[in-house]
Amino acid sequence: MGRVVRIDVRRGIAPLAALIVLGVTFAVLVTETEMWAGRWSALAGYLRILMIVLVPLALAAGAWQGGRERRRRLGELLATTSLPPWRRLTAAWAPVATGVVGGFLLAGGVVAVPVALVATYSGGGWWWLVVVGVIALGAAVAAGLAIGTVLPWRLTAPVLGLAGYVVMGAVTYARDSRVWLSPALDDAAEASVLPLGDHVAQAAWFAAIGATALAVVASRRRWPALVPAAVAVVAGAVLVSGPADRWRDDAAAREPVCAGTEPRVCAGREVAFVLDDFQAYAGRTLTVYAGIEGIPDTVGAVTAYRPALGDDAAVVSVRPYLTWRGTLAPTGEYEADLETDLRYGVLPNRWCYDGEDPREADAVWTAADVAVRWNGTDLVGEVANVMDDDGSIFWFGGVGADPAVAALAERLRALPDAARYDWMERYLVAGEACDPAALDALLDELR
Amino acid sequence: MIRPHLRARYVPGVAAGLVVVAALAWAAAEWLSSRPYLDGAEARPPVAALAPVLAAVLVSVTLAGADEELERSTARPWRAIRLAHVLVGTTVSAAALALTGLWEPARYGAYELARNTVAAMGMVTVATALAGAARAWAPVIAYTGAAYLAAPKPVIAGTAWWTWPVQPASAPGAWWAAAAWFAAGLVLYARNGARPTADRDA
Repeated sequence: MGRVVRIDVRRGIAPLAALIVLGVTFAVLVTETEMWAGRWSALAGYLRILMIVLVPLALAAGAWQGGRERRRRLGELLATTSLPPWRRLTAAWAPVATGVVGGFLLAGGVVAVPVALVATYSGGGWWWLVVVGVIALGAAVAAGLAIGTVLPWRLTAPVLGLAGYVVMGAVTYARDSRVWLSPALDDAAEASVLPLGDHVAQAAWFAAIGATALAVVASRRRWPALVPAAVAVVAGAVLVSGPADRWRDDAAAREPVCAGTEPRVCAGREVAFVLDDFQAYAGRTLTVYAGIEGIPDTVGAVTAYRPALGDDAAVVSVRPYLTWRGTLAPTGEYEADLETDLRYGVLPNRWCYDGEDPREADAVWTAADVAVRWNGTDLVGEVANVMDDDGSIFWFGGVGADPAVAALAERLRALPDAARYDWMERYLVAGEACDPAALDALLDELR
Repeated sequence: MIRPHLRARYVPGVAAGLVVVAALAWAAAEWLSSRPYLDGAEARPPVAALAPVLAAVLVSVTLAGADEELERSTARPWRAIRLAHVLVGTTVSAAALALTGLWEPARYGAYELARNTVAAMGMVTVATALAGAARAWAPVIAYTGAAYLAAPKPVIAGTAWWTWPVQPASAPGAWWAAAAWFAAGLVLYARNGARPTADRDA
């Protein structure tokens, strides 16, 4: 059978499937380099996010292979051979699975090279994410092959592929533990780990689905499918019975690695490879606030989580600025700028206000926008990335667009030095307290 | 001659399939836009991206007959026939889908559905001319999935030339990309027809 598989790997649809999976995987990886650059667990997690596209393609490839006997009108000829059905089916599955998994691993392997060159943390059992992803792809090919064998029509493969997109997409809308039945992660948590039991349950779930699909069409009897079907039911029950959020903080990945003074610059161990770059940017940028009492003296570079740096430290997400080589680029997606992020990041949270009064919200935002321009230097970018209290990153635009803010900042700059420093120090206190009345009073001093 | 030509290319079945696709697109868009945790009409990009692909894949079935080489040996104006075939197929598919998106048409509704149908038909006809009608579905399905995942979120107009499946109607680049794909497909298919393959599909 090995010879048959080898021939099919070279001449069947396996090369085309490999090429498409390789191309899609690689294309998505290179367009979102900041999502995985320099971090093993982020790369593995992003490869699992990619499953939302790859699993439907694997289903379609399997279905196309399953309909081959009918397309080539080989059914009667093959029925005259002595090869048992399960061997024929396995010989049809193996080449496509090899192609799909090969394309996936080759694309992942290529981008793993720059990660390997700079990664500063390799723990967290990230390889489990890849292993389970490979099993899911093999299972998808098997399921597609079974469906394509039962429904050997021309449109089976494309409709199955599109249905796969719809189902995989619909699962991401689930707000409960059913999301763990899908091989595609909605969002891979940074510097976090999944418990081993969840990896094992997912591996069992996907492998059992694939084995069930093959057993159903490979055997004239139904009982051989019962064992893998039972395993699938048990594994599926285990997966849906747990909580929706299963990521655990990876304390070792988040452990701060620090350098320098004034400001002291830190990064989580997982992103410590940017420490030198970040120190250069932070040291240069934060001179804007030199001499102001109360400005944080520690600035942390993270991706998308709150590090263990203490409440007084400022935190900036460097993820939007990560290049594929693991260096920092000054300008990121949406034309955001690291300098702008840093200048907002060390000030009190511009989005702290959670009330309903639009005037109070405006006072909080305006005060922050004035303070960030306190010494007259304008912002580089029109867009800033900020991190909220739970570690999520969001971006906002138009930070340099409001002429009213510019006029207030100009009046602040025109104050004598002592008054300007005093205004900023009172702003830091009021901003930390997120006190709209106090912030509005500060703005009144400038109106 | 027209009736046998259409029947030989499964056009009646494909037309019925287009009605089903339009109904599914309408139902999916309704479901998405009525979710309280989503953003109304703005929640419809998955429909605007995928429904045109399904419609184009359906129409691709009609782009080749049972025996392309035998057909070409007949004295018929095949270039004009192919041209008309693609134009009519695209117009009917785009109109069928656009009708499902008349509510808020410029927010991932009728405009995007029509534009993406034109683009998807372009990709499908290019693939038909280069690889045969039986395999024409693969590039457009793979491309749309990859573009949907890789497109910057929120979408930015600067990437419209390749993120057209998820671009709003207000992005001129997406319309130009759709027009380019369609023009390429029209020229290649009208000139060469479907590439004959060994597969015998039905």
